[in-house]
Amino acid sequence: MSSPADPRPPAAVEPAVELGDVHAAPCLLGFALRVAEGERVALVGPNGVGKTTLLRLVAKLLRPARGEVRASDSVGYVPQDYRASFLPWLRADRNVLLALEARGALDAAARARLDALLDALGVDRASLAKYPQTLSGGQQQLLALARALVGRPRLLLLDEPFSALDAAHRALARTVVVEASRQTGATLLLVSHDLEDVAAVAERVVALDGRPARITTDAPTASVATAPLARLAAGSLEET
Amino acid sequence: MGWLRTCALELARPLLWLDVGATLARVLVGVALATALGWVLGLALGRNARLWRVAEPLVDFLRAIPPVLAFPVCLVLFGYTEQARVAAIVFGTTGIVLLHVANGVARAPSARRDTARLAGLRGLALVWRVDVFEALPALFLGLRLALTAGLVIAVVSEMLVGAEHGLGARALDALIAYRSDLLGLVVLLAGGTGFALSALVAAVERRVVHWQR
Repeated sequence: MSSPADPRPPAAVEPAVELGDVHAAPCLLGFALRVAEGERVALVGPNGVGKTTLLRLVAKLLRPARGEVRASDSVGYVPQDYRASFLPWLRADRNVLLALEARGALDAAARARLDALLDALGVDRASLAKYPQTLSGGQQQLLALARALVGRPRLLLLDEPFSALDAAHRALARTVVVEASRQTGATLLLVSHDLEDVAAVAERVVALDGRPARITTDAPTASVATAPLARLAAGSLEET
Repeated sequence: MGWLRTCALELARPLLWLDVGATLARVLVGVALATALGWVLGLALGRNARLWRVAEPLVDFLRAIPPVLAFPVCLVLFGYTEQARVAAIVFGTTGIVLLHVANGVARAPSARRDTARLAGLRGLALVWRVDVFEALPALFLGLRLALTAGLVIAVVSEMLVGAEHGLGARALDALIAYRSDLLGLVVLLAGGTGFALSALVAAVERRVVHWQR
């Protein structure tokens, strides 16, 4: 069991994401975490600590061997291997709109929302007519973000979502993600090794370390200075 | 020059083309049925590791039975009919398609299926929108191999039990009549038929499986 002494949010508040005594070998054994509705949380820590596994559990792409995972089924997910997540037999626009099409919710409003999103992310509309694998890594990552956001999900799970972006697009994408969460009240879990991403997007930082993973720090982003944040990302800071 | 002249004369007659057509029809019908069967079973087995573990020994056993030996069994079951020849082709080629499709689906990147599941696709919709496409590259490879195997089975079945038309029957006639010139021509026609089928499938594959280029 690795939750901190003062788990956030308070128990009285119904959490948007709750993991209780979760076992998903080998990195998560008896892991617990609560995230409040609308909260933006960054998960940081060294490679292999279990951050991606955690997101996949919350997305219900993995089933824990033991324990309970409670989270909304309305999920927008940008996986770490975003390139492999596109269906290469569909053009980019059909990939981005796949969830809306599957739900029968693909209407003019959704298309307008996508247009606005693409403008905000600085994506060339022409890329929508191409097959994803013909686009650059950065373009694919922007489309993966658009795909995650366009359905206005209750839960945003972003696994290093800005890693392939240049500085200009990275800044745009951070703003779009924060705005999307604010406007829709979506809960956001961000995995990132980039501390500027964490500072720009998250309001709470959860640092993981060890094997099995335990939470070494759980604090508001604003209360964690840049230097300790760097050590958090490396998993070397025990407590703030 | 004498052989070329014989070839020209034989090719000018309709008989050899009827033989090519008869063999081709048997191969196409048999392999089409095998493809449908192998595709469906391969999709089901490729997506279910537990089912595959149970079915794999049986599939391997059936694949190990020489289709030429299966042909007499088909004769017993269907009599001296076209169905017996086609059944032998289906028996000998279904496993090839099945194995390729099952492997293709099982080895596809899980991230794509994750995307589809998160998009809300489930059950048959998931199979139709994702698994069918994941299986296509392997299916085309299996199809090319199945066509080659199907041609072998068709020709052998035509040689074993008298068929009125077919490249196997014509080859046997040529052998009995000591017509090595005709036999050589039949061999070339069989090779050309197999080559043409494979080239056709490859051309269709390049168009359909465009994301693998």
